[in-house]
Amino acid sequence: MIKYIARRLLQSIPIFFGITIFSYLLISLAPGSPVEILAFNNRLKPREREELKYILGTNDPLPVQYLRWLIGDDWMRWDSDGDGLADSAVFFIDLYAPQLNDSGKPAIDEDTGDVLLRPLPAGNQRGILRGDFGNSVYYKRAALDVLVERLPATLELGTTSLLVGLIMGVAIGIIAAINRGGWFDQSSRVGAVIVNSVPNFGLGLLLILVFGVTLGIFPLAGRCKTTIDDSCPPLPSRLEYLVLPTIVLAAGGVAGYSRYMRASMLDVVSQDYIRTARSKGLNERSIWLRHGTRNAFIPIATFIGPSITFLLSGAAVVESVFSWPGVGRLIVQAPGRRDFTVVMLVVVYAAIANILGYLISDILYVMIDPRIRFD
Amino acid sequence: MTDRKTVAKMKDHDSTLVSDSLMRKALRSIWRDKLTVIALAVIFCLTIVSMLAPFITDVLMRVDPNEPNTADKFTPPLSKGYILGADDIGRDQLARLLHASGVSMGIGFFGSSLALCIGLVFGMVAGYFGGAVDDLCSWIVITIDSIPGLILLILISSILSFNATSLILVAGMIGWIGTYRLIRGQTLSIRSKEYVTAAQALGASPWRIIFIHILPNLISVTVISLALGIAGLILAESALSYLGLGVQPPQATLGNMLTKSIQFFRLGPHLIIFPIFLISLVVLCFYIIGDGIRDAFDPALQK
Amino acid sequence: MNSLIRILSLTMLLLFSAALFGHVAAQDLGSGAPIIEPNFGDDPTTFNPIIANDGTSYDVINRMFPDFIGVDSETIAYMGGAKGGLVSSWDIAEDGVTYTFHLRDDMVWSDGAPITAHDVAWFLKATLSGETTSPRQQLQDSVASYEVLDDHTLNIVFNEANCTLIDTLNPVYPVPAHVYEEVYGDDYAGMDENDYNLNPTVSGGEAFVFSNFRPGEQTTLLANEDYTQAEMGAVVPQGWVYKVVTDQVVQMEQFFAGELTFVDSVPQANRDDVRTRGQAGEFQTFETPAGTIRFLSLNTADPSNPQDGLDADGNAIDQGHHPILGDVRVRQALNYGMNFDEVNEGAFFGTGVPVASHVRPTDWSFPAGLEPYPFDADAAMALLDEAGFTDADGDGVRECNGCMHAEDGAPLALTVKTNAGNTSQEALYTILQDQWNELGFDITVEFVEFGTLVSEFTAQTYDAIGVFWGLATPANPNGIADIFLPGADVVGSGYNTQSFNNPRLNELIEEARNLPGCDLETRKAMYGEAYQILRDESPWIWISTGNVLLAAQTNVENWAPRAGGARWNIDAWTIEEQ
Repeated sequence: MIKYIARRLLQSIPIFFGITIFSYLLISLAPGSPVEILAFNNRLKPREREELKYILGTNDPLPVQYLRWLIGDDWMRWDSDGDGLADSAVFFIDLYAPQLNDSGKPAIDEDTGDVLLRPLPAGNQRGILRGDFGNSVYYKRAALDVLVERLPATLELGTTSLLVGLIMGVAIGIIAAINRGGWFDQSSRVGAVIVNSVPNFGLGLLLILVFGVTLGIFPLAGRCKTTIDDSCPPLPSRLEYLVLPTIVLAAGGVAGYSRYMRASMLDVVSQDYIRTARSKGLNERSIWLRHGTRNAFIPIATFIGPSITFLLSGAAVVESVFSWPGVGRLIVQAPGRRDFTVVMLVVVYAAIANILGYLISDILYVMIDPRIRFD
Repeated sequence: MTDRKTVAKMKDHDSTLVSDSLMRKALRSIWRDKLTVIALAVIFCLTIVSMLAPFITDVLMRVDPNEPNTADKFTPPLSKGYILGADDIGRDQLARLLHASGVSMGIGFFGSSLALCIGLVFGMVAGYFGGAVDDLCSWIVITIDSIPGLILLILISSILSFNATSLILVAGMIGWIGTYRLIRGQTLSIRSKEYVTAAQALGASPWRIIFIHILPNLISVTVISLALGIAGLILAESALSYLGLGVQPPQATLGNMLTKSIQFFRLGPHLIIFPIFLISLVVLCFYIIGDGIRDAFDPALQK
Repeated sequence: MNSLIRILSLTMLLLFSAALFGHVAAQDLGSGAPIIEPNFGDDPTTFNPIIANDGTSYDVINRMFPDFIGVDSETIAYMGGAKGGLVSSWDIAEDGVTYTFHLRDDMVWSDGAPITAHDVAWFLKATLSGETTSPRQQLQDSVASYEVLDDHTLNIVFNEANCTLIDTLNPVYPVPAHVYEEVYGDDYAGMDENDYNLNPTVSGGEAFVFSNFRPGEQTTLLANEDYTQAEMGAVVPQGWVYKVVTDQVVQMEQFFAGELTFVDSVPQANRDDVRTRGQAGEFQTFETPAGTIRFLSLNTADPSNPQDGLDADGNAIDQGHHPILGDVRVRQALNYGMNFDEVNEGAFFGTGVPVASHVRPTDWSFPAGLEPYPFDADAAMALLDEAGFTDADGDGVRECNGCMHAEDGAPLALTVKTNAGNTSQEALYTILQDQWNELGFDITVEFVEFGTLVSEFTAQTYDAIGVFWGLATPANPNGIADIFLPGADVVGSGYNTQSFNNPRLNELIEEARNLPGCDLETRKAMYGEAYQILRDESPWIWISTGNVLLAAQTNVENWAPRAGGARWNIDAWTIEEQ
């Protein structure tokens, strides 16, 4: 088992690099730089924007920026004599930057006609391979901190909706299969699908308007009651805040799981061994539950992987509707700000969530299906 | 040599016969499934109507769906000559809905068809040839698949502001993974069936085997993933619109009409009801169709 | 009958609360419920005023740090001794560049240390080092040196005398020097990375002091027990919560449900509703000119060959001409062709105010005689005919027939771009497209992702781009006028992206800035003439400045917003339990 997990993790290394290069290319294809967006303010002068480009390193060629992100820049430009100024640099890196005049152009020495230069600071990033995900240009602090702060909220909502979706979906699927063709089967088939065919945000706002505004049963949005305290109270005392977003997020799961559960239950009960069991005179209930359910779970395991990925990486839309302070919001805003470090961090995080999701999926397979073994 | 060819031909003939009768059986079973028939009918009507949208709005209704008329803003349905009312700047909602449902369904249909084609080709190739081809395909697939679809769409939306065409292309290029997995698995299992082995033994070329023997057996899987793909894409388009990153106006889509109207729910509820109803109806129908076809083609259930 | 009862009970309530008013004067510190204000958007990024760069951060900083020079909420002008300001008065020496600021001596930080001139000096020291990452060039360029004369007196020497020196001090705040020295030391470049930025231990001098920050959720401040300027003798609300709300519909519903104390900008879609319900006594409301201006920037120069305005020696560079917008008559035709009433009704719900320049009626430099272009389709068409754009082939779109800068036969086609995802921009440009096409234009409107839009804007490769900008309060007339100087025409980073260059305008703007003696009336006349040139030459189409509608719950007593600030007396807001 451990050997298998280790091998899976090893296999994901090339995938990981593929993901980072692919998404770095994507985000750097976007026109405009963080400087233009951060400094979109008529009170700022051209020189300030140009200065910012040097400070943030957005002037460097793309491969250099990627390398800096991956393995840092402390080896690219460094201070060897300890006077606080960088004095050495690898061949593809500039040691000096031009001084700028008021309009942001390189300043020129009146007498010699040469461009005036100034030293650049030594590199201080260590790169993600050494655990440094860089600073967010917008949030002005470590991108990793920004993400980690938002994890608890995402996990809270994600786990709840996964569990609710799974339990309800499986239950509905089993009952529908037993009751095949009956009213429960038909109505659950249609009901689950109807809920699932309303756009997420529409359903969310609808629930807020009905249950929050009109009936006043559930709070409208947020994670807990607004107080002056420094954190939300423990989960059990604020469950009502979870209800509406969970319904919206779990709706997809319920619909999906119940359909797959029903289909695979029907598939399983038509298999030979069930017929054998039936001919041996076992009663219907024990056939369905003991023999059917366990095997019918196998396809469900396939869908748990993607669900885990989806829920870990945060549901951008639902989090926006319910002002839920999770990671989903980050990815909505970061590309627009050209906040590359945050974008890349969220992508890497989602990729890790994905690898984890499939790993869990595989482990579940083995737990459910005795025929499959890791080798 | 002649012998071989004849046998192969006979084989071909046989398998066509098999799928023909399966097809007929399936169609009969769909016909019995009233829910699916209704869903098909609804989609058929909607498709016809939205394809005729330019004709209906220009010739029959004589309105320009993009022409604002601020004096009539928020006109409720069935008044001042607006059948479904007017929007926040006084455009005719019926006309816009007609055009929008065409665009939304078009995005769904062409986007998932493109995804399907890519997935089908890669899936069959990877599944049939295996080995290095399979490994390479799998690497590409896992790489793209490791970034959640919505995140990819959001990333790409900062490179190009989406219009219908670019959304179709992008959706096709990132949406083929699911189909690929399905098709590859199916191909793998079909490849080991006796009739394929027989065809191989008789010297049929790989492409011939793929197209004559394997493809027909994938029809049900294909149609199901097409139906579900369309539904998913229509929902994704509206989610993108909600985040402000979807297809941009003046091109109306069901998603951007709904998103825009939500803030006006106190002023013009009709601006929300109709788009949300249409989105849900279309998506619902495609889900039902997908489900119905799955049941129809499932030999286990054909008793 | 029902409404009679409502009015009666409202009157009773008012009388009752008036009776209470005298009683409230003896409020205890933080005895009222906290104020909960929505933050529609994202988290603040720092609580350190030296590096703050975004509106949300300043929203919080302004609640817990005093301004250096306060702004009087009634006259909307910098004033010594204004509430919320550290400076009680200042003198200007004979040389015109040495300013001596006298500071209040009754402000203290939350750890008990007095707020002194050293605290302002620390801010200046860090900022003038030029090492901090946040742009403060105006301040760095204008201040030559500073000197602490004693704890409550500070000298600032500027590089050259002009009339906008006080404006350049706008970003200055006192910071707790004794804490900052310890926390940040002299590592100004590394200031961004310090954890202290979001966990400040010391604040003060304003109504509230920092309590806690919950990422993605809210920022919480508590009543400042040492606040000496409180209207009621002590700060009444227990605290102030700045709560992140990420959906505008939900935000308004939370307000209607009473979960939010006050909303400082009711979305346009809800205005009528809130206004009506406000009149019925359900909320308190207040309307005031907005701090933003919506405009359409017209590129007058050749978009295929963007050039800086000035070369290295300060000589003007030939900009070429935009084939269509290079002719001032076409720009004027666009102005005449805008039916503002229709735009206002359709896009702004009647809340827009037509403008002829970027000054608001509440600004001191607002010129009385400056009129926006009237809607006059005939005048617009006459101008287009005169400019050589006529519809010879009868297809409804004019083409160049002997026009100035385009090739003969080229259609009168323009691409107007604006930011995606903003409903009122969508409505506005859809309506304008319709109006202009009726004149014979062929306008394409594109809604573009913001980052892409800004990059095209600064690259100067566009025809017309519509955005909106916030205006400073108090307004510095040079703030926006400077944009039209050729020195600001820098491809890629300057904002004179329309490549506008009018010698008389350049002269006026510089003269008004540097007028000896800074006589307000003379300067006002100069700015007036400058605005007239801008209106006539139309490098921008000034579309509208809107009104903002503020709304508060009825149980918030002493809620009395002014044009100069909604929260000037926030320390006295009393939220009665309902």
